[in-house]
Amino acid sequence: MLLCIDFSGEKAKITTTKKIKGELSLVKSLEINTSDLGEYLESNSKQIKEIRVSGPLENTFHKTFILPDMKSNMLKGAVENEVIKEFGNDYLFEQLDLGEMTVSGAKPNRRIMTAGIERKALEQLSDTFADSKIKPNIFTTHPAALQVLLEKLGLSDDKPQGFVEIAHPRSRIVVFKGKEIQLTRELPLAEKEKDPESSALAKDIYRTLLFYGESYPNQKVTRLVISGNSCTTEIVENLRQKAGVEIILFSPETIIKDIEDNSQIHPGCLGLALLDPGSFHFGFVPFSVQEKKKFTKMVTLLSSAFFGILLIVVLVIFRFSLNLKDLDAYQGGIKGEIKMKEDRMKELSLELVSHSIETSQPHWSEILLELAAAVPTGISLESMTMRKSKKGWRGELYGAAKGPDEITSLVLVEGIQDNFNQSPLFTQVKVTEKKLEGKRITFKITYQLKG
Amino acid sequence: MGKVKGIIAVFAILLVLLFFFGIKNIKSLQGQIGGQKENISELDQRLEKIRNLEESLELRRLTGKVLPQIPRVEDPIANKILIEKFFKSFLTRLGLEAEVKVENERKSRDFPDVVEVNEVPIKIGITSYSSYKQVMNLLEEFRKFPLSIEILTIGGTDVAVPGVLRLQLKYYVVPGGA
Repeated sequence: MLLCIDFSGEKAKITTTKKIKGELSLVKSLEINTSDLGEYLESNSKQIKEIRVSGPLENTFHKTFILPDMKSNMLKGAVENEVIKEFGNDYLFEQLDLGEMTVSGAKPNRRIMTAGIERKALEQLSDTFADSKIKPNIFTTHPAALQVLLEKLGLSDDKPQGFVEIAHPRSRIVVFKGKEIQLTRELPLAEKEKDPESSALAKDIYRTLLFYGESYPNQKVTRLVISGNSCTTEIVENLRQKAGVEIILFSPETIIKDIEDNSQIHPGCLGLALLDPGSFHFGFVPFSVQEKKKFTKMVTLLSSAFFGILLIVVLVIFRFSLNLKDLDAYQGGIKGEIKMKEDRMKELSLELVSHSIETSQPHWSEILLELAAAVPTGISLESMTMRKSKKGWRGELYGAAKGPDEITSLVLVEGIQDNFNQSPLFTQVKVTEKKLEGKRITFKITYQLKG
Repeated sequence: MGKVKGIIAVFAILLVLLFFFGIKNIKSLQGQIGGQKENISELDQRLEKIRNLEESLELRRLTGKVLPQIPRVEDPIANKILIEKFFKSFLTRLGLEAEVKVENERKSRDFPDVVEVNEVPIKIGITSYSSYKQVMNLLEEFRKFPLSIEILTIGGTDVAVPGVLRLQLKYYVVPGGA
């Protein structure tokens, strides 16, 4: 259900509608005091899906500016300057380009329609809905909503025409020319006892039309559309006589169903119900709501980024954990197989011992023969030791070279070292000790068995 | 603006914490995976070695290339005496005069723990031998038994037993083996 509220002074005009098969259908139309609105919203909160609001005429402006043609950004800035110059900096406003205005012999100008609402007033209006679960999605002005209504009714015209809503305690008149809102005014409506023929209101309307004539010298209001629950035949007749314009009674049956009494229809609310939020130009968002939206958007963005990164991190961790699990399982499999093989090895202990001895014990006869062959004549061996170590077989050889002189003895020691070096069985051959004892030289050679 | 700044600060802190703990966690997992891969690589190598060894041992069993053991009895002292007697007679048969010292049987550390193999340290000191060939013959004969020579010295004193040729051996025993 769409709830449309048109604020006028202390009153809030309410219309609820719903769409049935694409056509707008009236649910309820009523008028309550603004102070009772909270209670109304609370009691109807379940049915309300959307709220649209038009604010009171006071604290709003509607003006068309004629500016030289320029780029859209510059034009926007120029309009902003004009609005600030004319109404100050306290208004939130929207603008609509009404097109070119050509004056003969001059460069074309642009007509920019603006509608604004005082920031503070808009905030107050927004605060009215502070306790409501559903917040208004459109705030606009009463004339902007009426303009939508006139377009839908097919009454939008290039000639100036007025729309009068006669209601207690205030009546409202808005003069349109095409899409341009040219004049808005609130008029007091006297009690029927004090002014039975409503001549005072007719006079006020007439004066307004005269004022319009003064403001727009070459233009004249040719038609007045009258609506409102306080509209009487006396007022209509009085206006027809005084203003001398075509009077049309507001008749919304063509655009909305289920209307029993035309006088109960609030045109502003109907305009709100009919407007298309996507193409509507004069929708305002209160600063607090803008801030809140901005805040919500930022929180959403930040939390999306955070949860996005969190998701990535979790996925990466999950992926690595799976990898680790797979590796654990694979490792478990290998360990199991090793265990199985080791158990089998228990049964093959004797074979293992045989294998170990066969592979670790050198061929002693070959080694002893190689040793004997490596010792040249003139050298006597004192001792030979071979010891098994972790790095293989290490050997030590003590001996003495007995040459006819010291030099020959030295040559003999070098000879045995060379023989060891050239042997295919020995490696890392070093003469670690050498001692001259007369003509003989005692020595110690260390070596390692190859393989 | 204060509220906005506050929220940005909160999210910034949350992001920093997320990055810190996330990266820490990921790095830890990467470390674990790296360690696990190294372990697996080592285990793979070990398994390969064991497989090859097992194949070789199975083949050895099939072909009967298994070294014979000296007959054993349940009493360890009797076993010691048996081994000493065996070596003395073995050396005498080869025409060598020798002194034999047999130590107590103990668990061998030369084999993996899963395999139950004991060792008996033996020291042999050969006081005289007629030829180099006799020594080579002795060493070749040793290969027919589960004997591992640890030290061999001719003219040296590295093995505490008197003799020109001194040997330190390990005689491997498989408890319960044939």
